[in-house]
Amino acid sequence: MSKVYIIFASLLILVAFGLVLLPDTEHEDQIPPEALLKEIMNQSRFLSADLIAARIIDEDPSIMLVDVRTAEAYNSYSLPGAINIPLKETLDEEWQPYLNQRGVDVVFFSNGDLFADQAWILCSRLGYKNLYVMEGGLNQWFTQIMQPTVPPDTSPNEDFDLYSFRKAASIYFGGGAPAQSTQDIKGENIQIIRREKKTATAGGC
Amino acid sequence: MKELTKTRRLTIASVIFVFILVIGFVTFRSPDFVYKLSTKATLEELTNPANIVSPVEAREMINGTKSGAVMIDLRNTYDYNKGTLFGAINIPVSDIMEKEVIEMFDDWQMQSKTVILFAEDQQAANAPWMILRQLGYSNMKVLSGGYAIAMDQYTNGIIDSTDYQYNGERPVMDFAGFIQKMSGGEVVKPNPGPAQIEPIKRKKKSVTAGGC
Repeated sequence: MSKVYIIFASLLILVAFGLVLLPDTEHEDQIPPEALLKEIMNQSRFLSADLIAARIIDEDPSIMLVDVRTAEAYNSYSLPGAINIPLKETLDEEWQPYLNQRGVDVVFFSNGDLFADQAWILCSRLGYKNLYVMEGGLNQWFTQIMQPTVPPDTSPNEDFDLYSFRKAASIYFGGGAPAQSTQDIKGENIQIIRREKKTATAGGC
Repeated sequence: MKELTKTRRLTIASVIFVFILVIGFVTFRSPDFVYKLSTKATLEELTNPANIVSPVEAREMINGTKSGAVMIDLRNTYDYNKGTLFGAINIPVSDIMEKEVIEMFDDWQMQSKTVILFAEDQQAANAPWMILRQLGYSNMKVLSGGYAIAMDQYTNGIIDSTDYQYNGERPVMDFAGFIQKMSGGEVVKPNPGPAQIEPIKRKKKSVTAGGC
């Protein structure tokens, strides 16, 4: 009888050693590559500059802008309220509480959208949620919002609404404003007036 | 008699135990895809200029003296049919982890063939490249600028093999100067407001994971 036990015991020990040799594939913190592929194909991570401008103007507390450019570029100019996490430091320990959180939408931006997207992919692999990329980056911000082009006369009303919003936003963010101290610009005397939607009188039969 | 049942129970229990473990080993399936690169290593790869190929270099690698590279068009089939670069193979982004495609990638890696990925712009090719790079394909490169800029260079004959800045990251203007000029005042230095941090509390790992 004891022989049987010895055999079983040694079997168990063998199997236990086998367990040790199992490949370490459990990455609790990371999403699998297949899921990451699905994430990158989802274009909803891109937020338009208009949307972000509106949220900054509304002083939306649930948005956190992250400038992934170098500290030098950040110190020269950045969007109001943005924090600077250079792409190279994305994985540094000190920034993780900012990037890995709930309740706040983290919006990466750079001059274009490549570097911001790279930061987005790195953080998404780590399973962080609520991450976004500003579409077109600062280049698009400056060409679209800071220097809005007047739509042609034949454009639909929405285009004019968008234009007047961008014009107002460009004043809010400092471009196109008359000579004023920046204090005034940031004050309450500027209001973004959104046009009320006109009732669709043209519609019915 | 009592002694006998006791030992039999023990035997049955241990047999079942071993049996379950054996089944576990047999049915253990390793995941199809595993990251070969850590996030830190990936971050370093992002700044490695060897991973970016300029349009002119790409032409060299396909047609010229350094031929032997493979071009992969990551755009959708509709755009691909309208025109592509150097007889590139069309693999839409959604298909890059299909079994047949991965087999192809494995072959090319075995033959240490350079694979150049491109899409409409560099940013669209970057994301699939990052995934494949993290899966361990070190022979993959990204076409700087993408299809539109490459076509423009080939047709208009702009040759600038040293410029890698087709990625849209070059500022279109002096932002600070623009703001200063328009506002007539000083540029507001970015002042990060108090960022609310709501840290995610990690689930406590069970104590048993710790060993002795």
